[in-house]
Amino acid sequence: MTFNPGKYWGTRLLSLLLVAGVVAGLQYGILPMLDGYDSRLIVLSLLFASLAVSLNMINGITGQFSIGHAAFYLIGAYTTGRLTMSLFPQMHISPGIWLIMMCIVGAIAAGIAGFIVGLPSLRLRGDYLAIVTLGFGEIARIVVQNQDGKALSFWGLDLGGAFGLTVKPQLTQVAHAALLLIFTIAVSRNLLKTAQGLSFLAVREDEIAAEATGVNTTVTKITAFVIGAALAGMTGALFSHYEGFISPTHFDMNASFIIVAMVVIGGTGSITGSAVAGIVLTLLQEALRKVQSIAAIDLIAYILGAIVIAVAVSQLKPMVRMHKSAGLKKTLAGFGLLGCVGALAAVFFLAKMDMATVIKAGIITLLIGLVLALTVQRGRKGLPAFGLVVLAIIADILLRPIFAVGLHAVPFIQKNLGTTEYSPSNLRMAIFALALVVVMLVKPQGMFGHHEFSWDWLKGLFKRPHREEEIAA
Amino acid sequence: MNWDLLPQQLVIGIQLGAIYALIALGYTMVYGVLRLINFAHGDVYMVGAYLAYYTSMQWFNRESMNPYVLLISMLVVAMVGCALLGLLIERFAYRPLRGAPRSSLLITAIGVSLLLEHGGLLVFKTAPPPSIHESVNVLAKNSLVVFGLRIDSAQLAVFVVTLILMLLLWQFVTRTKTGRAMRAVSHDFDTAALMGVDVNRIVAVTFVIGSSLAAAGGMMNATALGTPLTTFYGLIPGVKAFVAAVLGGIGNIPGAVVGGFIMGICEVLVVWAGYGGYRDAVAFVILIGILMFKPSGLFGSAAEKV
Repeated sequence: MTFNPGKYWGTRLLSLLLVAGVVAGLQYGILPMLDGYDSRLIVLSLLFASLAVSLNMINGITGQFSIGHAAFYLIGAYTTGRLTMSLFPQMHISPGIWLIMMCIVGAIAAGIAGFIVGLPSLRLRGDYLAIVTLGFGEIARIVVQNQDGKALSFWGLDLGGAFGLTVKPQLTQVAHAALLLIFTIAVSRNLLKTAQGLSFLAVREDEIAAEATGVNTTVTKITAFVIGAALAGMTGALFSHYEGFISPTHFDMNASFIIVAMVVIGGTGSITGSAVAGIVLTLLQEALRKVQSIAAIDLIAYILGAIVIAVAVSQLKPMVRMHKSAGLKKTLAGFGLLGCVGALAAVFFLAKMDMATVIKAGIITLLIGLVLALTVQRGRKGLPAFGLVVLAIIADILLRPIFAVGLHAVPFIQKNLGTTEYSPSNLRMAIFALALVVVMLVKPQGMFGHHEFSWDWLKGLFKRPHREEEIAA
Repeated sequence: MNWDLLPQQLVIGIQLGAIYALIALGYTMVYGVLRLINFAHGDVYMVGAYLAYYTSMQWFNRESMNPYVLLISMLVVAMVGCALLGLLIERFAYRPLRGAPRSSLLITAIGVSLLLEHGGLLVFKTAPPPSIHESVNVLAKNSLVVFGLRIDSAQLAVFVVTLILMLLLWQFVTRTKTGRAMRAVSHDFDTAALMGVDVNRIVAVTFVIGSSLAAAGGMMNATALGTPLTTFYGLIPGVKAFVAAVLGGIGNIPGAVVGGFIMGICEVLVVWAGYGGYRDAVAFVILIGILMFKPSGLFGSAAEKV
């Protein structure tokens, strides 16, 4: 392929215009239609997506397992928050420029921390590195927790201690968060297109082989840490200026684990996967707040039913595979179609429900996307599998009363759990954890694996099969 | 710094260290056979504490029972319950991943840990945080004085029970056939399998022992100190015990015990010196220091790890 400057710069200009258009459309077109809660959800999901993409730089692309990402986020947030509180009122700088300056400051502060954390990665691998990053994250949080301007503070620094730091004015707009996500994605993606970027992948795949072929693994690993940390620091800067109040609890181990979960579930090494998982999981967390509480025994009955069905399917599968039953496949595909109709019906009812617009829109997009992907896909390969899932859900619902009656009959359970109700707001992290374990067991490479979104892939999904392929099939 | 308080603080440090040592044994044994940092281990400790709580407060009638029988049955219930839990975790979360990349195992371990902590919110009583009633801890009423040091007989009991459990473990590992198989698996997983060791059984046994030791620690700490229980009760002790295991050389059983006592004493010293706010950070500082300068730990073999 020859280099065509006209086409090259044309594409760049076009994508810049597109980005500006999308962000402006989001800020001035869509936002005025939504209320405050919705815009908060949008900002948080964009910020968490940025965090996931920045951690993916370290975990996914360079293969250095880090589980203390909240530390960099914390450093960005607290450095800039403190600076804004101390300096912004006296400096007569326009808020936009100040925010950009703060992003740079946050990036530098977190980048330095990233450099320090990256150093052990030269000696440690795998789980040991993971533990050190976790330890660093906790140290950062505990140190901040003790900076209350009293006896245990270093140099009398006052970061509000355990009570948190108020950051005013709240400068961050939705557009800033969107721009940051696009910037984060662009940095990761464009880095991978360069020759230098390939060395990150080389370190991930095989460190010794990479070293043998002339990759400077030391520089590569540290660079990955610094870039990932700096991007997280920028996210922290935007977060503290959006939320207006930061406390050490925002950045504890759970926060780190959530970011790791996003990267892992999205697909370690996939920028698209991280961004999508970041947005979806943040919204899911909020969506679960609104679900009604469920009786304890019913929940246990559902879980027991699911276990029975899973065991049954895993036992039956080899038998069915031996017969290669075409009729069964057709039946399952039929159930799959039924499930699609059910999903469309769910979309119809969801549209009428009282819920945050953003979450509603998200779920509807997911459902319609699922139905489209299943029905338009070449050869409709996914339908039987989806049919199996639908069948399992129906069977689970049918099994529930049987198990529930059985459980009620046991005096010990009846006495201790008979009237207990579980509220799903407590369940949120448990569901995350379950998703994490299940993804590891079923699809360790995550939703997207190492794949990235591309227009060709989208085209391929919706293309009808060629005539010859149909005959061959 | 009050020097007069130091010896009394050290007694507390040793009690704390005994608990850390018990948990660290589970970490070190599981790491020995599977090369897996079992993040969920601290949460097994939490479950053990909760089981002891439910045994004393709900399942058994504490007024009408002999208090010593109650204490022993709490210990037994906690240990048996957690042994089952450990078995379940191993069977359904870790065994399917045998042979998978180690990062997958680590992520699964984090997932299981989060699941126990947050799933536990549903199962266990957390609001208000319950604590084992003072009256259960009959040993706390009398204390003995040695060289001017006041030693609670509960503290003594913790120490003695820990010691007994450790000696039992040591006898088991060095004297029995299963113990020898365990050492073989820990030495070389694949070769042990080739030599006819039932590896799955050994791994299961390891989880059973490790989890029941952690449960004993949870029961004793919750009873002796009467701390309010939450589902995150095991998070920080778990991490500290892990540091203890690394400090002693992970995979090394006596090392874990020594590491546990060092961690307990260090923590108490930090509090004694007036930096109580940093007591949890110390563990991580020690961890990072050890991993940077002597990754094999105090007693570990120099191979691997890094």
